[in-house]
Amino acid sequence: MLKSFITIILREMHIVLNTSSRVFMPIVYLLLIITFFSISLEGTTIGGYENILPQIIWLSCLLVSLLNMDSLFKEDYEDGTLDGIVINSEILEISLLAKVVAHWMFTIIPLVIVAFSTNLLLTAKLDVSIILLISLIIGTLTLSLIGSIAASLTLSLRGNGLLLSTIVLPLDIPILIFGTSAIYNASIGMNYNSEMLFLTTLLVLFLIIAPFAASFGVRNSLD
Amino acid sequence: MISNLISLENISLVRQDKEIINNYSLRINQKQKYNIYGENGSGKTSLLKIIAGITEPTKGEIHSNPSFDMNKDIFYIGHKYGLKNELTVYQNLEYALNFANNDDHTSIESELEEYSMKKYINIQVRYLSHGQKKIISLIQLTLISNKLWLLDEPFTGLDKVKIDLLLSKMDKHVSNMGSIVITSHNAKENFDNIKLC
Repeated sequence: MLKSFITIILREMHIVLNTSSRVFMPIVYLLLIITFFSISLEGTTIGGYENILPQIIWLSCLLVSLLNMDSLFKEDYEDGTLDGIVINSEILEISLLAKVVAHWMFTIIPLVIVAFSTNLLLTAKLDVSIILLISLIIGTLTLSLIGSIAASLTLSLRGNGLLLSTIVLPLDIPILIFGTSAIYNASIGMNYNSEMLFLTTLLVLFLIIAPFAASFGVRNSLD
Repeated sequence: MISNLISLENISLVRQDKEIINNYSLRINQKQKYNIYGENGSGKTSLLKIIAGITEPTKGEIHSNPSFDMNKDIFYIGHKYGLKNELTVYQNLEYALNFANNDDHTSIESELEEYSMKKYINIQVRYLSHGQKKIISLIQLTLISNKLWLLDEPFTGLDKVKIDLLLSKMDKHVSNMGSIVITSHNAKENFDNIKLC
């Protein structure tokens, strides 16, 4: 069981290494969104742009993570490897969780690191940047788990991106609220423990629910 | 002793109010080669997917022998090749073996050699032709050697030499207590032919 989990993660790592655009394109999108936000807000923000920059970065990460969510199972579905995973997995939920973790590790984590570095460079506030990093690590994994449910349900549909976003966005809102609140509280020196606790609770909740829901969705889509 | 691996009893499959398979029963025994044949749309692929456990029948039951593990003992190749385009031929075969809990990678090269595919070992699968992709996907069969091979039109897209080689691999698998179910459009020699209407 653990071996198939590791095998799937290693396979995804090799795919990412062979196609580096999967990592770089989301980073380029993230930097573009942050830049456009900065240009549009120039001179309009009371109290300084750097106070709202972490929230902008958080929102940008959420939007960029949505962009490639539909590819989570789609490629495996189209090339037939998903059939093999469904037939030969000892526990399908564990294999699908491995897919989500791999997607998060090799597509989202580089994004989070760039987001952390950008915030640190532009605001020079290490403490806020660290909270941003931690909240993004917890938040983006939860977003990937939620995305896996929607990706599995819309797998067999053509042009599933819009439907996937429609399903995912309402579920993403609590994570966005708690994530941005935690950073705002950290930036004004207030306690942010309750927000981080809520983010962690949501992560645990979706770690339990998402693999089962995704497994149901994948089986239905292949049927 | 030849034993029964899987039994399908009174299977029916309905999709969008159309009955694709109607009250169908089948016993898959060890050391047997089955050829499910019929016209386009007769339900061959659907039946193969039901045996593989991908598709849930609308009615009927599927029983398997207690010694037969539906997760470990089946290898299915459908119309898609089950290969990652971004990985090399070797990486694809290596991961297929790893996923089947088989750490012995020594036979990869010899199998590729047998199908005259060794020169493509470090080539990404995306650069191979459809026929070559099919051969790589069929090589997985002999490497992993699960008890039951489920192959959807395995001879399509292969030249005569490769078809003969695949048939000899099939015979070897059956003589090693394995079983094979294939689909095709015609009855085949040396197979238990089952016609779907």
